[in-house]
Amino acid sequence: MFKKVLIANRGEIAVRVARACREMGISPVAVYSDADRASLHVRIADQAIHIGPSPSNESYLVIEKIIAAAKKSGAEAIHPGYGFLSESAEFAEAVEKAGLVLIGPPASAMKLMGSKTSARRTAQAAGAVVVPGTFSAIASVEEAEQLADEVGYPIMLKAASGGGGKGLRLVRSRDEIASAFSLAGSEAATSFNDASVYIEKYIDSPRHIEIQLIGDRFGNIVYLGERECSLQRRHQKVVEECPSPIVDADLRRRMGEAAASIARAAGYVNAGTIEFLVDLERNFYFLEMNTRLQVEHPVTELVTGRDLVQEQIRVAAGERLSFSQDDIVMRGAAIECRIYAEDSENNFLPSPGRITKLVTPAGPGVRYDSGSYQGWEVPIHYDPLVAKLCVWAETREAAINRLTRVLNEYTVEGIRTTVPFFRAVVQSEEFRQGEFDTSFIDRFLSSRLSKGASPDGQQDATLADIAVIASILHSKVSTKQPDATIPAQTSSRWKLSGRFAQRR
Amino acid sequence: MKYEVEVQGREVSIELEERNGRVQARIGSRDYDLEVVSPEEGVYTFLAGDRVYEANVWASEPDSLRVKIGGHLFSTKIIDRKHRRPTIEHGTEGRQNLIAPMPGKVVRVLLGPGDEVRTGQGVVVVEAMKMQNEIKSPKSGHIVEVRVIEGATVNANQVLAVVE
Repeated sequence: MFKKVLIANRGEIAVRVARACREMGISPVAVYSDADRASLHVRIADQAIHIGPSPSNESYLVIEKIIAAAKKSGAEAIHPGYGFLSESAEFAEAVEKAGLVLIGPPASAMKLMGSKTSARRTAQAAGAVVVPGTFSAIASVEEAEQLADEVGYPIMLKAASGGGGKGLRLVRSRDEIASAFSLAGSEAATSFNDASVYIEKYIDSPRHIEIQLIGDRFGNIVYLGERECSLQRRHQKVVEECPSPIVDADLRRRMGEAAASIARAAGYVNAGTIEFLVDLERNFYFLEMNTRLQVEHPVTELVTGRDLVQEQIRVAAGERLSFSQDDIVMRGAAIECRIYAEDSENNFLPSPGRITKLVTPAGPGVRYDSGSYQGWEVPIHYDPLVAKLCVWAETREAAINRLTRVLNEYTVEGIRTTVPFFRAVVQSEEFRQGEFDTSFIDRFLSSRLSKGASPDGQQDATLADIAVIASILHSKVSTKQPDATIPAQTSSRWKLSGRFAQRR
Repeated sequence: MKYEVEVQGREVSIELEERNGRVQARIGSRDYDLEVVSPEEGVYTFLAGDRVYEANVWASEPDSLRVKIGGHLFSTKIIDRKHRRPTIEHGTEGRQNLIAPMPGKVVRVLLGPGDEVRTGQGVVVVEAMKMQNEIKSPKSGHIVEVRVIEGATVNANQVLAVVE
């Protein structure tokens, strides 16, 4: 087993991987940019190597800097997390050439499945049903217009190296395509260092369900059930759950076996995910493969009881999978909310800044993965994911009730987040019934907007009054100005009672 | 003492007296007699009889507050009656500023001085947290001035361009 692992990432996933390392007796090494000097992933590491300025294309995306940091630290292996270099075959090759081990798939499988266009070709050749569209990158606006006409509107423009909703545009008609092509291309270039985009037929109202799998170097591949990822905003997942409310044992087995055979055809090793679109008749279509650990892997861990990151490290070290397909048992239900630094009450505008206060939920069935802490400043340079809040319970209904409780306990001050949005989602009847598709969130948001409802729904008059009273008290305390009507003594005695309460 | 407070965009008048950890207040026809302690900075725990309400209060934008009670969030603002200014209506007459809604980096300037612009047309693209946001013109007219260049870092509420 490795003694030291370099984690080529930041934020919550770097913290997640470091925790797995600690539990296995492996020493975690962090890397950091200027903006991340005081970030949590640096604070919890044994060693931390500075890799340059804040923009990710000058730090976290520079292969030579990551390799040099690994060499310098004496790490034997590199865990790439998700995003950044995690799906770069060039990086995988550089790691191998440097005599290090990448905790991920081989470069060959990454090349085949990491590019969405060649993944589509591979899956089709392996006999899987794929979403209609093009099988190679588009060179120009003119070509995009011509191909889109052939596929038929509406279409999706997608970054060939994309993921996480970046470099993705829905195009409903010909007059939108030129601007969408340039925006998707430039977003793809900044996010993935690759501007190529391709066209896929837009399938209306599908479900997005994915299969988690992991393979070892001995040809064993095991699937660990599915994740329901239909709750998306702007094609970015916001809530994921395991299991899917519509997948039964038979569909799970069919999807799992299809996924495993695609992975086998690609010579896949380590953790990966096959994404499918599922229509109303429960037919499933191959969408793409993510050749890395997924953001939403915790819900699978909660339901299967398996630690995917530790298993990744074990198979990368050359061990056999510690479980077989028959060992995988799904128990209960788990739900994850992605907490973004975005103002869900103001069109989800980015909201970087200092977290002035953070109260995280606790109690039974709660898992909180985060790279942030009270007093930390959320930087403008990176993805807005500040935390993943997960719950597990015996049934889906119990999990939703638990999530409702947990979201109410959660307090983040200083920045705006998507927490108020999740509080509203968990109350919606469609979500509770499990009757939704990938268009649910957009419909949910626009219906709230047209109703003019506040994101928290109807609030009773007493709560509003208490809010008013608390505001007045707070403005007296925080401004510390002597107030004509409140004697100084009263105010300080009131503070004293506060201090007294704190000591108890 | 009397206060005017805006809560969720609605103005309310409140009479409030506070001493020795006890608050008496009247809002409209509703009377409150509350015990209050502040167990942590910015946290106010009220007892109305035996009913518990805990409020987390923090400053968001200058002069406005956010209050969280359980899962409920409120935006409030204490109105200073002595220095009360009439609220300025944001119409679309005359010159309008194009404002950055959040901090970020200017990745593209789409229009220059003198260019014609339609309502809702993108003028500047600002990138924050890997998302590109087109900052759109609030009115039809022409660009008077562009105050940023590509690559510039901007703060929230900074003027990016002026439209007339």
